[in-house]
Parts: sequence; C-alpha cells; structure tokens
Amino acid sequence: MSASGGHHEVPAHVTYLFAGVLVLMVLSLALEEKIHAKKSLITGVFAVVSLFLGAAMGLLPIDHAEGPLNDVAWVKNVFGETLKLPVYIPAIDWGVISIILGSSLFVDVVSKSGLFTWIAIKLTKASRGVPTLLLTYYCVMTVVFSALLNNVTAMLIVGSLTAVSLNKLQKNELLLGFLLIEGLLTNVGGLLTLISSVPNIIVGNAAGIEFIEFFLVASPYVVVATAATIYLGARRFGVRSLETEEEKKQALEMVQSFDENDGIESRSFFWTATALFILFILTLATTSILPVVHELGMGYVALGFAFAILIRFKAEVDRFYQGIDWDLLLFFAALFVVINVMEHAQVLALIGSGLKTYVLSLGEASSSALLAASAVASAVTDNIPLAAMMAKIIGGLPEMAKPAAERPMDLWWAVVFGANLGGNITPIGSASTVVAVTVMHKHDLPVSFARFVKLAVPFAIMHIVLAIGYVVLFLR
Amino acid sequence: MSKLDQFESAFKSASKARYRYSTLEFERVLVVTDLDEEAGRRFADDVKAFLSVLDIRHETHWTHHCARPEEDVVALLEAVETERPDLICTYRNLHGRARTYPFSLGSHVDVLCQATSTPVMLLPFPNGSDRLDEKCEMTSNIMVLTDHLTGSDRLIDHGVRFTSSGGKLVLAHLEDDATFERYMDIISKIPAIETEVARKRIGDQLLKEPADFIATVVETLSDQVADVTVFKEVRMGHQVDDCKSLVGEHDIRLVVMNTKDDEQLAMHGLAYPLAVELREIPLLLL
Repeated sequence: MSASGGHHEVPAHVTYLFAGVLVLMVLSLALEEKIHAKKSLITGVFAVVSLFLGAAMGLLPIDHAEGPLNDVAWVKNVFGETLKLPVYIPAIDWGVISIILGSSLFVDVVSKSGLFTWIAIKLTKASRGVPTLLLTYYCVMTVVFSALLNNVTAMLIVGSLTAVSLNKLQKNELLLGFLLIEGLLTNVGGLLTLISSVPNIIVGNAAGIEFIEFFLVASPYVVVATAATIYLGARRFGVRSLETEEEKKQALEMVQSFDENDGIESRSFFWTATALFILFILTLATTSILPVVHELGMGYVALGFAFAILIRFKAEVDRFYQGIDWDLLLFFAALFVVINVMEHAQVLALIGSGLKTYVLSLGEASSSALLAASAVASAVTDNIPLAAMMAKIIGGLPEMAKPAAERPMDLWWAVVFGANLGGNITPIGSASTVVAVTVMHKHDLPVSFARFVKLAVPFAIMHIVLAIGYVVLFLR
Repeated sequence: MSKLDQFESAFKSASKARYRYSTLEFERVLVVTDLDEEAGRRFADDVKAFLSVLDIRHETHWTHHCARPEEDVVALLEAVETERPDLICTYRNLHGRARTYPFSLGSHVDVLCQATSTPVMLLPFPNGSDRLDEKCEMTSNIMVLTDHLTGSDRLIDHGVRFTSSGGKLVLAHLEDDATFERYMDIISKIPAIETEVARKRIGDQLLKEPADFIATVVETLSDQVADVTVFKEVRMGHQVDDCKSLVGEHDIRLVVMNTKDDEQLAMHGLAYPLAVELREIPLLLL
C-alpha cells in the first residue's frame, strides 16, 4: 500500500511516519507555553529533523547528477549560468516572509512617530469618558488597528490604553470585560484585509485573492460581527452609560487631561509617517493594478515603504532591526520547510484525501464543516501551520484547476474565517488573546484557561455561526 | 523592554495631572510672639501690614498671643486650640535660648508646625527694635518650593492666595541631584540598562512632569486669577543651595513649602534644612 499523488510514489509507512512528525510539531506548538520554547525553535528543530529524514529516505528533490535540474530550484545569473539552491531555500514562501518583514518594520517605525497613540487618545477624549462610548470606540479602534497593523500590535496599543484610561476613570471593575472584548475583536478585525493576519496572507496568496476583493468580501461580516460583539459585551459585563451630570462632568475632566501630543517628538516626522501610512494602505490596496508594482508584489511594497520611512532614522536603523520579531520570521521559514517536506512525503495528500472523504463529500455543508473544523483546530494550536497546510491542500484539489470563475471560493473563505475566529475560543488560540490575558494578569485580574474559555465561548460561537451563515449564504 | 510596557508607558506619560484652583480664605490669623506686650503688638502690626493681601477679599480677624516667658508648649497649643486660627504667624526660636545659633527652629516652632494642621508662617526673628525686618513689606514675589510639584494643588493655592495683586508667583520644582546621581551610579552597574540612555530619559521625565503641570497652572490661573504672573523653575540641583540662589534670582519675599509628611512625625525632609537656613525670608509652612 502506498500514498500516491503529487510527484512520486511514497510508501504508506513513510507517509505515516512524517504525519507523526507533523502531529508532534503541532502538539509542541500547542504546548509552547508549557515547554517554555519559542515557536521558531520548535519548528526549526522539526524542520532540521524533517529535512534529514526526507533526504535520508530519498523524498527530497536533491539532484545528485550533472545535467538538467528537475525538481531542484535553480536560478540563472547574469552570465546565463545555472545556480542550484539548497532544497530548503525554495521551500520557503519568500513573498509571505517579505510582506511580514516589511510591514512589521514599517509599522514599528510609524508607531515611533506617535501616530497610533495620538489616534487612540483622540478617541478616548471623544468618548467623554462615558463607558459605553469608550467601549464602542475602543472596539472599533481594535478592529481597524488589527486590520491595518496586525492583531498583536492592535491589542498592545488598545489593551495598554484601556488599562490606563479605566484606571484614570476609576472604572477598574470594567477592565476584564473591556480587555476580553478587545482581545476577541482583534481576531474579527484580523479578517478585514489581506494583510491583517498571516492566515489571510497565506490563503489569499494561494487563492489569488486581491487586496480589494478580500476587503470587499470580508468587510460586511466584520461590521456585523463587531456590532454584535459590542452589544453582547456591554450587556455581559455591565458596561453602562453615566447617569448624573456630576459623573459626566468628572469623567469628561479626567479624559480631557490626556495629552495626545505627548508622544509626538517631531511634528514633521508625525506628518511624514501619517502620509506614508495612508500611502502604504492605498498602495497595498491597488498593488494588483499598479503597473510594474504588481509584478513585484505586496512584499516589495511592504519592504519599499519600510526602507522609505527608515530614511528618517538613517544613522540608527540598526535599532529598528533589533526590534524585528525574528522569532516570528524564523518560525515561518522553518514552518514552510516542514510543510514542504510533508508535501514530498505525501502527508498533505493524505490529509487532503481525508478532507475530501470526511468534509468535502458533505456537499452543500462542506464549507461550513471546513470552517468549523478550522476554527476548532486553530483554537488549540497555531492557526498559521493550519492555514499553510490547508492552502497547499485546497490548492491541490482538482476543483481548483478549473477556470477562476468556476472555482469553489467558499472553501478558501471557510479556512480564512475558521483559522482567524478559532483563536477566540481559548486564551492560547491567537497571539493577540495571549496579549489580552497578559494585560489582565499584569493588572491583577486572574483569568485561568477555563475562565477565559467560559467567558469567551458565547462570543466565539456567535462569531463562528455568523461566519458560517455568511459563507453559506453569500460566498458560495 | 516589552512592547506592552512601551505602550503603557506612552499612555501613562500622556495622562497628565491637571491643576485645579481653589480659593482660600484666612478669616482668623493668630500672631504668636514672646516679646513684651507693647513690642509684641508692634510686631503684630508689622505682620498685618506684610500680609495685607489677606484683607482684600474678606476682613481678617487678627489676634495677638503674647506668650509669657515661662509659658510651655502645652499652653501654646491650648491657645491655638482656643483661637482655631486659619494661619499662625511666628518666628524661629520662639522661647528659644539658642536663637543666636542657626541650627534649629526651636522646640516650640517644631511642635507648632507638626502638632497642628494650621499653616504656620515663620518670619525672620524681630530686629533690634523688635520690629519685623523692613524687607518684609509686601508679598509681591512668592516662591512655591517643593521636590514634588505635580499634584501639589493646595501648595500652589496658598502661593496664589498670598501673592499680592500684580505680583510674581515662582513655581519651583527642585529635583535632588545627589539622589539622582546615586540611582545613576547603581544603574551604571547593571549591564541590562544602558546608562546614558537611562540618565537622559529619567532626567528628562523627572523634569517634564512638573513642567507639564506648571503649564496647566498657567492655563488655569490665566482664566481664573488674572493678576498673577507665573514663572517656572524646574531643575535638578542641590536643594538648599539652589533654593537660596532662586530666592536671590527672583527677589523672593515669601517661600511656601510643605512640612507635613504622612509617614513620619518629623518635618518633611526638604522643609527642615530650608527652614533653618533661610533665616531672612518669611516661610509659609503647610
């Protein structure tokens, strides 16, 4: 018996051996906090082991002979010479890596201008200190920041501001509710654009979904889910308006004492960063139609803007390089290598056939089942391996070979929604909920795993049910 | 440093303390002397003239307590309890036998400052004619002095109240450089903290907060008290030396300071040495 498909025949026991390695890696990532190891190290170790096993068993397309290179990546230099690359280099999706590297660097430098804290404080003042308005503004800000920056940065900004402003307003009893709702909304906001979360980037790239198309499809859901979350959250955590004029006056005075200009060290840099940030979003949104730029892709745009804004700090750019999340980047690189080996070992084909048998055979209900399964899977482990794996599997389905108009896009969207929203079920489901729990612990709000699940599950169920309804009704 | 901490610090820094002005009235003032009846009365009249600013809005009731030479501190406190004044005016070494030695305030003044909640105005010792020093004409230039100005609304309210019309109110925040250097020395021995960055950032932030607070004082007073000009003096330095130099630079006629410390019976750390050393200047001790 052998697993077949893809490039070559692989004995079944070999496929199962590699499937075991994959399961072990996913489990290790799920227990990241328990084993006190960084993601990059976990996936790095598994990448090294997988490559070794793959090479030893002859699964990898390593070319030993002179002559034409088949599966091995090769490039030509300016002299027309063919250069061979190590097998793990082309395994990495450098488009995704460059988007993440460029946009995180760009956002990091823009945040030094004080732009994000300026917006956050302006909204705080606009709320006049009224808790219901404050919750609404912070939730909208969470969604927008998650969409335009990333969900971790959004949670860091909104979570820390929430703690400071509620303390100032002497409403510390509302902190848990605010942080929980904001944490959950980072994953809803993470659905809004193609660059809002890594699963979006991976799946969107694999599915060939453009920035604008992604936004137009996802935004109606994000608006409805955000409004429903705010409503449910305000009721669940007793967030009410202020009653007396005296209370309103005091609250207004307290929020007015925030100075939105405090974090702005240079006015000229503030405005430059603001202009570049708007231009960055516009360029990303129009990458697919911009001449030349569309050939270079979104990674080029992100890196281009990062270097453009770094000119402001030309003598000290190394300071920003130190701030790059190398753990995240190396995690992606290693993860792509592992998945590439799994592809050669036919593990993805095996999962794909299982998916076909148990999920896609459900016909009308297949996208709903895929969305729910993706959500449950990403609740207990990282949604990035899930998205990367599913992108490969769905991309390999025969239906995806059809002309663009006939492809079942609901499957892609089911993975996008499931992978993002699954993070709302548990405190370890996404990096931003981990940040939310960290802020809670920092402010003496003991929230255990079970308590978080108990508080978050009603919201998560609502988000997933809404998403299933949306995908089934509008995206099939 | 975690990014969470970075953002939280940014928002905490943006959350400013704002000054809230409250009007103060001194309806009853008690002048305590250990002079004979006639000299004491003259001295009390001089004090009344010096503090004429108090009579502008309301008529102040002035009382003179002329302590007998043998009167102990208990009797003095009883007199204060009977009068229940809003302000006590006296001078250093009241009933003191060591008044020629500039090392203390004297036991009566010590107790008066700490055992009562009433502000005490400490005046220069009466001159050879048992009169208030002629430099104490009016409260035109006043300095509010502290090592923690941010949130010191009450201290500033007193400064404002005693500043005569058209006068100058200096808000001085002196950050003790010796303490700062001690911390910097410790930081210089911690490899994880970059010493020069810490020195600049901590130093800047220590001075920025009182400077920001003074900006809110200026804004508030320009709306509510039009005839006072506020000057900002925020600096790092030696608390006694720099205070003396500020007094000279601004021709200060009255220094307002906090003396009460909730955590100790003795006078606030900065107040006692200054009160002992600034012998020629009237001090308002809260």
